[in-house]
Order: sequence, then C-alpha cells, then structure tokens
Amino acid sequence: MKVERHIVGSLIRDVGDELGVFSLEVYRKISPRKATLLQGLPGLGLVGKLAVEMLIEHFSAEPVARLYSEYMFLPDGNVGVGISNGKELSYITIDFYYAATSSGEELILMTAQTQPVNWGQYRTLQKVLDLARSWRVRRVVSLGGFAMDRVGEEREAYVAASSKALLREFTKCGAKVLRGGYVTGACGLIVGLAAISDFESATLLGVTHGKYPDPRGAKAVIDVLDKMYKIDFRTEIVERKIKEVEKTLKLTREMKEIVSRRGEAIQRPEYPYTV
Amino acid sequence: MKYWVKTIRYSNREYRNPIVVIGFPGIGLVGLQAIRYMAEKLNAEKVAEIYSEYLYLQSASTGIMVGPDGTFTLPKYTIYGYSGTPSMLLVESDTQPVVWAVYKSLDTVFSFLRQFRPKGVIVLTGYSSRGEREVFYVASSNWMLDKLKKLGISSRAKVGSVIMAAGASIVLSKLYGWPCISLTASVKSAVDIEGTRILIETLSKLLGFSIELSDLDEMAKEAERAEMVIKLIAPTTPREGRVDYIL
Repeated sequence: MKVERHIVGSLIRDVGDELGVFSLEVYRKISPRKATLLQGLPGLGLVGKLAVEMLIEHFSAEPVARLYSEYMFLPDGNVGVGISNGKELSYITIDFYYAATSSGEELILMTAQTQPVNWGQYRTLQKVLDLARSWRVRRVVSLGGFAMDRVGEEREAYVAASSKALLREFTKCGAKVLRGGYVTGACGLIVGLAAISDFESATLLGVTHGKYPDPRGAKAVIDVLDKMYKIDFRTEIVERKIKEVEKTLKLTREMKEIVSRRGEAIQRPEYPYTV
Repeated sequence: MKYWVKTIRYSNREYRNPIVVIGFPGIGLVGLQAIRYMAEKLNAEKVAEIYSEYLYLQSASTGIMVGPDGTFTLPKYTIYGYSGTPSMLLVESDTQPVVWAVYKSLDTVFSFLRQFRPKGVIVLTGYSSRGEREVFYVASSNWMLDKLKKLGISSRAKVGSVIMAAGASIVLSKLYGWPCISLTASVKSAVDIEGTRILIETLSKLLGFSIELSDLDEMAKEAERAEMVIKLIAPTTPREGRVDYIL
C-alpha cells in the first residue's frame, strides 16, 4: 500500500541533541485520550513485527508519524539508506500508525524494519516514550516471540507486566504469566523504561519456533489483544500470511534441493550496496 | 554528548558522613550477596535507584528481568541507607556496567553519593581460590589501617588486579578524594555463601556493628543444592592455572 505522507509538523526538532541525532516527521495530528502504544519490532520469529503489521492491515491504519534516529541501522548492520525497486530510497525509521476500535479503544501501532542498535536503544526508546506522552498514551505493550523447541499449530501467549493488576487483565484475556527469565532487546527495554516513566506496561510474547517468520506466533499475541481491545480481528489476514510464509519456505527448500542436486557451487552474490 | 540516566529518589533522610559499602555481581557473587543481606538484616531503607543505559543484562543485551510473580524490572543500581552506628550507604547493582562505559556509568552513582560527604568507601570483592578461607585488604590510604591490623586481616594480596566495577570504584574513590579499602574474600563456588559470611563478619568487626548471620546457613544449603543441579545439568572441568584478578 503506497501512502502519501505530508509532513504537518515536528514534535522533536532536536537534530543533534544531547542524546544523538533524532528527527520526527508528523503526518497527522492526533489527540487520543488514553491510548495504548503497541510496539512490534523485528525479533524472534518476527512475531511482534508481524502482529503489528497485521493489525495495521486490519484497521487500514493511517501513518501519523515517523521517527528518524541515528541508532537505526539497515537490517544488514550497516549505517545508511535502502533502495527499493531500483530507484526509491527507503529510510530506516520507526513508524507510528493510529487506529481506533469500534468500541472506542485507541491504539498507536509502532513498527520498524530493524531494532535500534544496542548502544542506542535507551536513547531511541526514551524518545519514543516522550512522543507517547505527548499523545497521552496510558499503556505501553511490546509484542514479541517466546522461543520454544517444540511448537504446534495452536500457540499460547505469555505476559510479564509492570503490575499485578495489569497481569490479571492479560490473563483474563487468555495470556499465561511469564515466571522468571529475561526479555531482551527493545521488546523488554521499552516496557522497562515505560514502567519507570509512569506508564502502565506489559510485554506479550507469542510462542514461536523462532527460526523464520512465524505468523502463528503472531496470531497467539493478536488473540489476546483481540479480547482485550475488542478488535474483532479478521482471521483471514493471518491465514493469508501463513500461506505466504509457507509458500516462501517451500520455494526456498526447492531451490536448495535443485542446487544440491546439480552440485552447483553457490556463487557469491554481488554486493547489494554502495559505499 | 550526555548519556541516558535516571535517578529515582525514595528517601530524603540525611546521612552525614556515611561509610559507603559497595558490592557488585562478581566472583562468587560475594559482594552483591553481602550488600543485599546487610540491607535486609539491618533494615536499611532504599534511598535511590539509578538506571543507566550502560547496565545491560548478563546476556550482553538490553532488556528486563522478569520475577517469579510475572512483574519485571530494568537492571539498576540500588542505594540503601543505614542510619545506625556507623551511618552507612550500601550500594549494589543487578549487573555489571558494559566494559566501555564502566567509569561513565559508575560516575553517576558517585556523583549522587557526593552530596552525603562520605567518610570513606569499602568495596567488597571476591577472588577464586582453592586454599584456606580468608579475607585480605588493599587500601588507597591509611584510613582504617590500624583497625585492619588489629583485626589481623591480611594485607598480602593474592592477585594482581581488581577489575570491572569494583576496580573502577577504587579509582573513582581516589578521584573523588575519598579514602578506599577493598576487602576481598576467597571464593570456591559460583554463589559462595561462606565467602559472603566472612566478608560480612570482617566488615561488622571493622565498623563495629552487629548483625544476625544465622540466615546465611539456609542460604548456603540452597546455594549448594543449586550448584549440584547445575553440575548435573552441565558438567564442566575446572580450568587449571592462576586466576589473576578480583571481581
């Protein structure tokens, strides 16, 4: 879906401020009353990112803002900008979408192509929370994957929260309590930062094999959110995503088999970037 | 460029010229365990928590630690206050700061401590040893030396360096103009409660406070059970040779 973005303002003007280079483009001014920020960045099984992308599709959500950060690198670990379709520049940014459910719940959906680099995660996610505060976000929920060795088709979702009261809200909607361990990267950090910044916060993790994009893990997370926010989620979106992933995996397997049958040496690809 | 740090203050009580006692997660966890045990048994109040972008999880990534009840916390420094005799500020952290920012990260803690005008700093550490149980000290000045000698504590260091946050604390104490002692216990296991006990015993004699140590017995049994389980799951061969640092 190609979306025209017209910049209507910038809440963060501090390119080169004390914590780094940041800039915010605002495409639509919103004034939620008590919204929930749902973060879905790439991680185990791409569960969080897939979940947020599917929610964006479900709501046909509109982009409201885009955060540039010097700590957002390309997926291959380089600093720079991507080129899509051979000509279009693709910036590595954190993108925010706004959606409201039929029952009046307001959601800010946050996603990106990559996570901020380790050493810039506190700084970048603090900027995100500053922005969330300006939108009067009340609750921050990060979505991610919980890797297990053996998984079936039906998956569960686990939750850890900033308070026992919030845990209960999630368990009433079908999530199981995560008892111990660590939640690493941006998925853990944003809710940790939110908890010491007067937001309610929770991390919701869908069980995944963690090896490749896992829409079934994302579905486990969406099922909980569906009950909690009365989203009335269209399940055909997940079904289609599952088929897409299975088709890609099948193609990959077939290509590998062909290469191995022919005994062909895998040629080193040309460098996909310019320096 | 500045860096991300957040201090949450829980108490505004005045601690005049306290002795700062520091213990970080290191060899045998003796320093950290000693601070946490003393904070609990002395009913020390929480003075502040300091969050730093340089405190990562043990897996070398950012993130949160989830407790058994399903609630979570970011890694942080915690400062406890004891207003008895002597007045003490007890400092610990959930993890070590990342190696490239140990000083920067600890400096936020030291600059917080400066307002109390500390009398001196005692850093609790451990070193790996198969020999007899003992504590030795190294000192940056003459502070407390007479008492240490009277107590018969060895000044013969068994190792060549004090590393990471413990070592940086000794350096920063000097830079802040505070006398500093490092008390180091011999350590024989991953979570060494006996090492923790001799550190607390030594410190209580040195500073003249009394503390109930009987709960350490139960902790020792638990640690022993945990270590047996770890050995069963992941048998390892101890590495031979001289360990030349304190953590």
